[in-house]
Amino acid sequence: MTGSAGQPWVTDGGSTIHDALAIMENYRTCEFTTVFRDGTPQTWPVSALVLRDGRLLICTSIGFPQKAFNIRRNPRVSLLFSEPTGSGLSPSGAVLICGTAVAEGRVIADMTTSPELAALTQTVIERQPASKFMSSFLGRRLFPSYYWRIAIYVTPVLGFHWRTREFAAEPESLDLKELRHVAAGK
Amino acid sequence: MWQLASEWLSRFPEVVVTAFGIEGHPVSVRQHSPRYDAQTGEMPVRLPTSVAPVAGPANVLAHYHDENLWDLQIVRVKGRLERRDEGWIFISTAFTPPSPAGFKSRWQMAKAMRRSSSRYLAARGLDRPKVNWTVLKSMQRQAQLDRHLAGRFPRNGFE
Repeated sequence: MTGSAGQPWVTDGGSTIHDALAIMENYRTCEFTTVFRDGTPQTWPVSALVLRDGRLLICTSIGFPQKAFNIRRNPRVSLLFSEPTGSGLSPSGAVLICGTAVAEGRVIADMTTSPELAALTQTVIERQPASKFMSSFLGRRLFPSYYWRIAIYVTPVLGFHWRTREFAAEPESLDLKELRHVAAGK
Repeated sequence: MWQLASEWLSRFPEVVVTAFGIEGHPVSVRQHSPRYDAQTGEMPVRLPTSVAPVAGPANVLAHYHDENLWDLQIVRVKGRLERRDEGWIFISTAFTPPSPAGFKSRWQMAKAMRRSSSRYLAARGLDRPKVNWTVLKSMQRQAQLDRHLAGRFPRNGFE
């Protein structure tokens, strides 16, 4: 298995953590769920970045603040990495992360204020070349809030890994301590 | 009654069902070849027991993007998860078809984002933030250069 950035990933029988991390780092989107005020789940496809401490970083525009509102009421969230299109990974499985999220209070307009935010911005720019439109003359006028962002940090509490796309099969539990250890060594 | 939802979902070979499960967290599981019933709005769902799904509020999300995260298509159905016989069933409660692609839809989205962001800033007494366009443009140029180089010198070819 090879990551999109060209890193080799070990895929022998005991490498669940490496495979899971490869999925989380290379799948273009994940299905991110927060809980609405009426108690129903709300799910969006988003791009997430795995941080070196094992947390996940997501950003949302203040033009679409519902994710942040939901998290401030109920921090329980989940992220399912299950759509391999464009990831370059083969064979492809899936990872489900259940965690607690924090939506920052500040509105970020300069994504270089932290290395993590800069890395996420770079990732999205690389993965979605056409997003360049949003910083064009027309894009800035139509969607001025696109780059006014709220950072969302997710701390994993539980993790599951499907080695194949047989989702009805029981996934393996992820050792999150080990996941953090491997993520720290990136 | 659920004909429209069925038509939209039939465009996707897979959907993601989200309900609540282990330790009260939302849990999502992808479903192959969904069998959504256009008459009843019901769909059998296969969920592994290890995520400990429970009956209650749920949703179905179908989405698509191309290799460059473009041509985005998203369809959502609200509903609930119920235990029936030995399996799980998703039961639809609401469906709003996605806006048709095109300028009108983009314009509506732009207006909605403006309204929403203005409210967000006003509620917190904040001014319109100033985006660092210089850095953003620099990142875009670097990404373009990287893509160009990756196309000319594919890294995987040397591994």
